[in-house]
Amino acid sequence: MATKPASGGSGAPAAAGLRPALGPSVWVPLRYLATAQAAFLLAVTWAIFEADALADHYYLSHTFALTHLITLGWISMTIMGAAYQLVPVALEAQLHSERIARWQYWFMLLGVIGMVAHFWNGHFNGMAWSAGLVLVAVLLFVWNMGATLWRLPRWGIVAKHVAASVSFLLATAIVGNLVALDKVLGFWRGEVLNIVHAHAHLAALGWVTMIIFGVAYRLIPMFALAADPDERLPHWQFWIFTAGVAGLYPAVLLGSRLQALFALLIAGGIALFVHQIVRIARGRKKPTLDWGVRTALTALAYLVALVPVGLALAAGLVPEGEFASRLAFAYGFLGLVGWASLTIIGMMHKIIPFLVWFHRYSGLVGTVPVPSLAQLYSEAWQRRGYWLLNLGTLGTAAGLLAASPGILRGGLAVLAAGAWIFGLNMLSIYRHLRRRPAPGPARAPGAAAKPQNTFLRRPLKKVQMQGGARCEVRGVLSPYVAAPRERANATDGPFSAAC
Amino acid sequence: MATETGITEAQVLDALRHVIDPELGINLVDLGLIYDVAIEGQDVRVKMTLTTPGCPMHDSLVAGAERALGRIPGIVSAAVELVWSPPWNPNMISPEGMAAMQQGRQGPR
Repeated sequence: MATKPASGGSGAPAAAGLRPALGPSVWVPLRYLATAQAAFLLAVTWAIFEADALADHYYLSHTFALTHLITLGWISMTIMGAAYQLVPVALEAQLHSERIARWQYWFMLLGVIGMVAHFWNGHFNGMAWSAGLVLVAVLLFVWNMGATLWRLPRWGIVAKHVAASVSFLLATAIVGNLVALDKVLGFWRGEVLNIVHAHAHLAALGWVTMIIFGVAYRLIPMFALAADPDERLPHWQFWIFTAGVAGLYPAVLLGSRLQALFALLIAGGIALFVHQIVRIARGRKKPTLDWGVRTALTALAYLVALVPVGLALAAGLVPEGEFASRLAFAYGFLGLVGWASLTIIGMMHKIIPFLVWFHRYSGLVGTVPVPSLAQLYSEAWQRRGYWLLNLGTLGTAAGLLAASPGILRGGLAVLAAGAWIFGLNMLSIYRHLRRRPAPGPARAPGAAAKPQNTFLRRPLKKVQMQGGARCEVRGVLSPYVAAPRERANATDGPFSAAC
Repeated sequence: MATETGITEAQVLDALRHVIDPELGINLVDLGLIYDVAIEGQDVRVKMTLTTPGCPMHDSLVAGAERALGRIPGIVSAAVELVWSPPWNPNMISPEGMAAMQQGRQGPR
C-alpha cells in the first residue's frame, strides 16, 4: 500500500528533520528554554541567601547580579527561545536563519554568565565586555526576527507587536551597554539612576510586555478554543501602548513631569489588552481552562494591580524617600516575577510539552496510541506549584515593602519551592526526549509477543566458557556482543554472554 | 457506504478516530476537522482542515492521518488534502467531542 503526500503541504516529520512546520529544529528553542529554566531555579534559590541585601536599597551590585540573571538569563532567554518557535507559527512565515539562532545562543549564554559573575564581584571591566556579548546576541536576534518579518506580505497585529518589541530590545541593550561603559569610563559622572530606571522600563514594557501582548493575541484564542479577536481594538491598543513606552523612556531619562502622561497612555494600552483577553476568555468553547492558561491569566491580574502603582510613581504622588524606594523595588519585583515570570511559567506548560511531544511522538501518530501534551507532566504538581509561586511572590513583595529580611527569606523560600516544582515538572517532560525502541508493526490480537531487544540488569544464568571464563548470560541481545572467542559457546538460544 | 472492495466511510472515519489532537485530546473526526471522504475502489482521499492556519501540529496530524488510513485492510493508496475553506471553528466539534472535553479526557490512558 502506498500513501501519497497531501497536496496541502503535508510532509513526514522525520523527513523534515524533526522540525515543526515553519519553525526550526526543536533543539534550537529547547536549548534556550532549558537554559532559561536553569537560570530561574538558580536565581530564586540564590535569592534566599541574599535576603539581607534585598532588604536594603535596590542599587546594589549583588541585587543587580540577581536582577540580570532573572531579566536576561530567565526572561529574555525564554522569550528568544519561544520566539524562535512561536513567531514562525504565529506569523505563518519561515524563520530567516536557524544558524544565526544557534550562534546567538552561545553569545547570549556567555554574555549572561559574564554579566552576572562580574556584577557579583564588582568587576566592571569584565561586566562591560560581557554586556557587549549580550549586545551581539541581541543584534543577531534582531537581524533574524527582522529578516523573518521583512518577508511578510502584510503585517498583522502579531507582527507589529513583535517588530516593536525587538526594536525596544535593541534600544534597551544599547542603553544597557552605555551604562556598563559608564561604569568603566564614568562619562555620566555618577548620575545614572534615571538612566537605570528608563532602561528597566524599556526592557519590562517595551521588550517583554509588548511581545507577550502580541503573541497572546494568537495563543490565547488557540488554547481557549475561541475566535481570533477583531483586529481593530488590538491595533488601537498597539499604537497607544507603543506611544506610551516610546514617550515614557525619554521622560524618565530626563526626569520630566510628562512621564505621568505617557504612563497614562501605557495604562490605556494595558486596559484595552485586558478587555480583549476577557472577551476571548468569555467567548471560549473550551469548557475549562487548563492551569497553564490560568497561570498566564493570573499573571495578567498582577499587571493590572501594578498599573495604579506605576501611575502613582510616575505622577510623583508618592513622596520621595525610603517608602518610595521600597515601593519601587516591590513594583519592579512584581513586574518581573508576578507578571513576566508567571506568564512564562504558564506558557512553558504549553510550549515545552509541544516541542518534546513533537520530537518524541509526532512520527508515531496514527500507528500507536501516543500521550497527549497534558499527559507528559503532572497537573497535580502544576497546581501545587501555582499556589506556591503566587504565595511566594506576594510574600516576597511584602518583605520588600517592609524591608524585612525575615519576611523576605520566608517569601523567597516559598517562591523557590514553587519554582522547583515547576522545574521538576519540566524535567519530567524532558525525560520523554530519551530515545526508546521504535514500536514494531501492530500485533494481531492474541499473537505472542516478540522478544524485546533489551539487556536485562539481572543475569539470567551464569555459564562456564571454554577456557575457564565465567560469563553472565543476560536477556536476548544478539550474540555479537560477546567476544569472538566466546561467541560459539554462548549462543545457544536467543542469549548472549557478557564476560 | 460500502464500495466494491468493501472499504466503507465508517472504516475510514474509525481509522481517523485513532489520530488525536495532542493539545485538545480529541480525535480528528470529533473535532470536526474531517470535511470530506472519497472512496474510489481501493483508493481513499480525505479532505481535512486544522484548527488554525499555521497550526504547529500541521505535519504530525496530516502525516498521522495518512498513516492511520494506511492501516485499513485492503487499501491501496490514501491521500490527505489539507483545505482551509470553510475555516474551522469550535462549533464544528461534535457533541461527543465536546462531552469528552468537558469530562477532561485527554488522550489515551
